[in-house]
Amino acid sequence: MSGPRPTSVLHRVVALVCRVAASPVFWGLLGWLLLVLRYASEVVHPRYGG
Amino acid sequence: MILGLEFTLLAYLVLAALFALLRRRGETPALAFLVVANVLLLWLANPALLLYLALQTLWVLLLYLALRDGRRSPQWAWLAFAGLVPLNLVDLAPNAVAMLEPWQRTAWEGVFWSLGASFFVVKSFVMLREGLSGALRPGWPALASLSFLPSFSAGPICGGLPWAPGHLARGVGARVLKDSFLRVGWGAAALYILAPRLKRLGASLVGTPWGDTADMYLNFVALFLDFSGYTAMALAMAALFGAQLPENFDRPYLATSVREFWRRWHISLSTFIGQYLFKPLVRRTGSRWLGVTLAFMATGLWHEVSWRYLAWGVAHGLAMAASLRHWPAWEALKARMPPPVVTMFCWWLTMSFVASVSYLVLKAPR
Repeated sequence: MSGPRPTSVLHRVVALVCRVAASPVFWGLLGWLLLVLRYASEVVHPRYGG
Repeated sequence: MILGLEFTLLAYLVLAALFALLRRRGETPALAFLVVANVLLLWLANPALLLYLALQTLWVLLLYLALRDGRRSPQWAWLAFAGLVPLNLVDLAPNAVAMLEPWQRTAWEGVFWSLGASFFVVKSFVMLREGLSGALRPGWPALASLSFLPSFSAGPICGGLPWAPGHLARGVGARVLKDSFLRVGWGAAALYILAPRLKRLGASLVGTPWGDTADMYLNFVALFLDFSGYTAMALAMAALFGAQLPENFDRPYLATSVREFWRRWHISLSTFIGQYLFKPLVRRTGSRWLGVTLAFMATGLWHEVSWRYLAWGVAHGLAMAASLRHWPAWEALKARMPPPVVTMFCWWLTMSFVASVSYLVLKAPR
């Protein structure tokens, strides 16, 4: 008998995490999010000459 | 004058747009424009450094003119590295200002310029060899490659070919813009936010054996984020001009041997070592292990003429030499152990070796 092999929830979660971790879109958007947050915190609490 | 990340990004976005417009008139005026803009930005950043770069360019051009008739051996091109001598005697840092470093204006600036200048020397050597082999003629592509500010301080190491007519992409499409946007985002976050945080976290743990060990591994991760973040931005910005610079990293933290590590880490340097040092040294000495050890020793001294970098070169060279050999006892042991255990052990050993050698260099006095 052929057909898709049944996969557990854990397998699917691990596969999803691996797919996300291998995605440049995820890392790129995460980077921009961090930059925006950092920039916003600099505006609120300037560290240099504020 | 402070050339921060925001300024550099904005400047190169505008330059890329103007470059695309000028390319309609031909690649030569566009490349000439880019060179002038790069030189202007370098002058704003550090006039002393610009003078050094101009002298090195002139030196390499003179070598090209002296060697191009082919009567002398291309090995004379190694004289290009004479430019490293003043770098180890003169400190370019006092005139340095922060560039691409908006939040961490620290003593790192000195390293930035010295490293940039030494990268400049090695790139000028590669271009000289390209010129002597007939692959590249002296001109705007070579100057554009040498002076391109986003790839100035940490490479990747390449000659002038990515900027030569015929190698530049015809246009920059939506896909390149999207990829560049994502790469700049991750690269900048890795370089400016994550790497400094990890270094600070490591420094806060120092004092106990466990704390020192954690600092060592954290510094290694920070080094990767620092270096690969910088390269990601350089590649992304060059792509906006249609230039495809070589990839410099391929998930090095997955390496399970030192040999594999150097296939994944600073790939442009590994390519340089293989092409210009390892192969000629093996031909000369007839020994692969001696060739690879000498090649890494020379690479260590290229980083800095000091005992600590010589030790770095010896350590990596010997590790590479060991990985070139077949060890029957180790193979027999591996065959008796489950493959995942072997892989995990090799991974841990590789990461620990590279991290500890880097840490020793970081902490050792010059």
